[in-house]
Amino acid sequence: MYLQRATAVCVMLLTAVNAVAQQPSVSAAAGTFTVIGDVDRPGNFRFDQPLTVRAAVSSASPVGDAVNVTVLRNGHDRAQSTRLLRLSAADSGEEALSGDLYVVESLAQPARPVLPNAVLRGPAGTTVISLEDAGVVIGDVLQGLGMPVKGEIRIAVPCRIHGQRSLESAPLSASVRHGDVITVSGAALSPEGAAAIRPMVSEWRGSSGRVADQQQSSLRTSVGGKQEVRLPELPAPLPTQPPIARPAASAAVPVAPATAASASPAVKPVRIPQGSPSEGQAPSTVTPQLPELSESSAQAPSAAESRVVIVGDRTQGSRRVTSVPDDVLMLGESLRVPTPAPVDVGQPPQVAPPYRDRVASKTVTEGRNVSGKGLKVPVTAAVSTKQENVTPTDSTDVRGPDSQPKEATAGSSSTVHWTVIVGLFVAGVWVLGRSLFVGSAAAGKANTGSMPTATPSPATSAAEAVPAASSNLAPGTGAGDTPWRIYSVPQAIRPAKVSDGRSKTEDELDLLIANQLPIERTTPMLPQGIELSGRSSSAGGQTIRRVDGPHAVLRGRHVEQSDPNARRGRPLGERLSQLIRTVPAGSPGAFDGSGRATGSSGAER
Amino acid sequence: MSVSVDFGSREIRSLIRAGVGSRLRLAAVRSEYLLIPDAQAARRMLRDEGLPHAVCGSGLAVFGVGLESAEWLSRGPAIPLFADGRIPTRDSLARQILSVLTESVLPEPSVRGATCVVSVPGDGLPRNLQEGNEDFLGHLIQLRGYQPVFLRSSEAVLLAAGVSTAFSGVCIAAGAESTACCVARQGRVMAESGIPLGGRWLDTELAREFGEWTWNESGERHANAVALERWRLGLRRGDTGASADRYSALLRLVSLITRRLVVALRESLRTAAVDWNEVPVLVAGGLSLMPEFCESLRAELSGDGRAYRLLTVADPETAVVRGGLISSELATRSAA
Repeated sequence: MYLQRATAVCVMLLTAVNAVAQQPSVSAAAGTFTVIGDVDRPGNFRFDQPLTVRAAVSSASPVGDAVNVTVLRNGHDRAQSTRLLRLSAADSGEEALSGDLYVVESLAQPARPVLPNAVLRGPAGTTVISLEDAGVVIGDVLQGLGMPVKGEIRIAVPCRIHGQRSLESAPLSASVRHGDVITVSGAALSPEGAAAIRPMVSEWRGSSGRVADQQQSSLRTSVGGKQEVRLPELPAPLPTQPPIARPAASAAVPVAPATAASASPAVKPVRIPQGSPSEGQAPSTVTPQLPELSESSAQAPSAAESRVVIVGDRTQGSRRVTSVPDDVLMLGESLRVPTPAPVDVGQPPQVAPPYRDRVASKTVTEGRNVSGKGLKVPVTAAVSTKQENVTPTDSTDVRGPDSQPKEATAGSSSTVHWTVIVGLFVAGVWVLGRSLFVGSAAAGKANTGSMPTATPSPATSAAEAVPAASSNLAPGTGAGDTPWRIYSVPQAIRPAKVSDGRSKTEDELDLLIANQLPIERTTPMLPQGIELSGRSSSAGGQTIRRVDGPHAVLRGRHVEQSDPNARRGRPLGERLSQLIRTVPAGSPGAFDGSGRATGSSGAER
Repeated sequence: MSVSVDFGSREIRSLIRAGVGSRLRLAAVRSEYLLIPDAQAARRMLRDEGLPHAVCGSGLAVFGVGLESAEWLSRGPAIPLFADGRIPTRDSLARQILSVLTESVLPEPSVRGATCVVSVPGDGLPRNLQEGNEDFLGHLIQLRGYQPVFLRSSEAVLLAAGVSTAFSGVCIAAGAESTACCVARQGRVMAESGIPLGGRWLDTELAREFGEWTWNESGERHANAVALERWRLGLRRGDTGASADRYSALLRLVSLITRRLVVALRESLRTAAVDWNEVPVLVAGGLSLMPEFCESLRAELSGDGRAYRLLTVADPETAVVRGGLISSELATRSAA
């Protein structure tokens, strides 16, 4: 019997090794970069092969041959360097890194008009926006992206082009200019808000970039240390015109933004569909985050932290991972479910619940599945049931937590034998899982292009998605996303106003006369160190004026009528005649009983 | 694109509306400059702090938004660009700085020769001096690519706040160097007048009276009007910080201004020959932020048999430039 089992294990090992050998090699250089500024095609770009900075910038079609490129690396809030690139000259060979942001500034006057664009970097990623009118402010951008602005958030504009000064702390009323890099951070950015910003895999690591790097290196080690596995970036082509409001729950967010823990540029969440999902269960949405749990919190997590947590690695020894991308579970590792909660197994959600609810339901489902068989059972495969657009047929050889414990407990008549078998089995499964882990790269690639549609179809298969993705991708460089169109609020909130016979110009003139248009204070740009000729003849004093002198100047009856057009244009009364109307008390522009204006006060600005 | 500029004696302000749906953008710089000795330490400090400055024969001239940050480097007071409400005809450095500041608050026009409505200082000056101001400042506007159209500050107040009174009544723009007023009926200006007294005169007189002096490097003595201005503006926040005699002196000087203003105003009303039962009086300008000014004006207006309704304009410091922008919008519509 032992011989038979040993033979079976060997067969499994050989099969797994063979599977590994048959996997296509994954390029070590893969990821995304962003190009904005004086380019024809601003946006996020994906690359699967090593790419130079110049080639990356060229992919966005700069409007000039000589450009200044400011580079902002992933995880950095400030520009790392600015260099002059001449597209017609030889390439310096500097390699583009995943998550790079290139702000292009043409040195010469652009030969053709450039659509004003900017970029927003936040906890959920990098979002390229196009400024559709001249009045866009940061608040408009946040509102246009559906990002909550309540609470304390920190906004900065660390990089600007065309000689404009950066803003360490920018108010919501600060105007967004062409080529601006806006960074947003703060405690008020809830996962929901972050998800609303950018429904794509995040490139943003923010302040947790170092942590992510550590996890990245540990994950590389855990997969053997021989070769570095880099998984391709999931694509995120954006809809041409994004909705202003957050998408409804049924219009599922295609791919959730990765958290800081899962936003490593090299190792992306592996999206392996569940092998045996609950029958009839509707596909759920990708979980947006995995809370970073400490050991103590893993022991007694809160309800919000009721997540699957990897607490150890039996095959690798003592490494302990407390936070991993939620879609990645390493093989051969123990699975602990902190708080198995009762759940109605037989009632899978027919309609996808809202974002957080889906996460919670999936979490407790996993907890129920594992805890029903006992805690700390070895699992055989990475499990992710949160992939929206992958059908179960993609993962027929992946075993979920439901199946593995059954196999593990079926032949456990002897503790010693069981230990040996489990040890061998785990080793075999590790290799098998390793192949799956690598193989998931292909699955991830197969998912490309299947995500963001206005009404995502859960039944969209990977096979259907591949041609769509391939058709949009150049061999080395992915196509850029369409920037989000951002309008200033006055235009955005009144696009469909029923016309009452008055033009918008007239409406705004009324608001202007009533002092109801908000005024944005700007700081003029003044030169420094210029040379002016001459000396000052003023000593700072003022001439003494006597108040009892004939200072008052009285003019006659509208003296300007004698020369109406020389200096003052048409008479004021003629221009005003059409504006005179009675303003009811209490309305904007009127005065109250004490003589104070009832319109907006200066303090509001 | 609509643009207006208010060359105020305390601040130069511009208000711009790029187009339909866009926001109003207000740019403002102090209409003063500061002379500091040309030393390496001062240059380094200005450069490190990013303060706009220029090198000239008198040393270093600091202007614009960084004026307050560099005040401690100079022992003398800031030099007004519109001393007594006039163009600095004898100060070539001030004229150059004026040109620089004008360029900073005015963007490049979208169309060459676009209309820019301009309010110039010196409403209380004789006509020939006021035209001199208009000629010089209008030339600066033309150099920037705009076609200037001049608007008196009191008329701008009428446009900015007159909607509630059907653009009828008395409009007062109490500025730093002068106070202008006009009488308008249905938007048509019937008479106008002005006095060359304003907030800066108030501060200077207070400084002289109470011995608030500063001495520059040459040992020359100057009235420290800046310190008195800060004290006066602090009164609005309830921070008196001074003795009662200073406050009583302030009331006396304010009363002097309002008395002369009311004399000119009544003359204007007589010239305009209006027969209103109640005269709306719209008050704007920096001086109107002082409650003492409005109370004194109300007291001076009473007693002539007319009924006056004193109305303080919202955001009075920007009322002139807002009125200028409305005038620019109206001009654009008329041209269309």
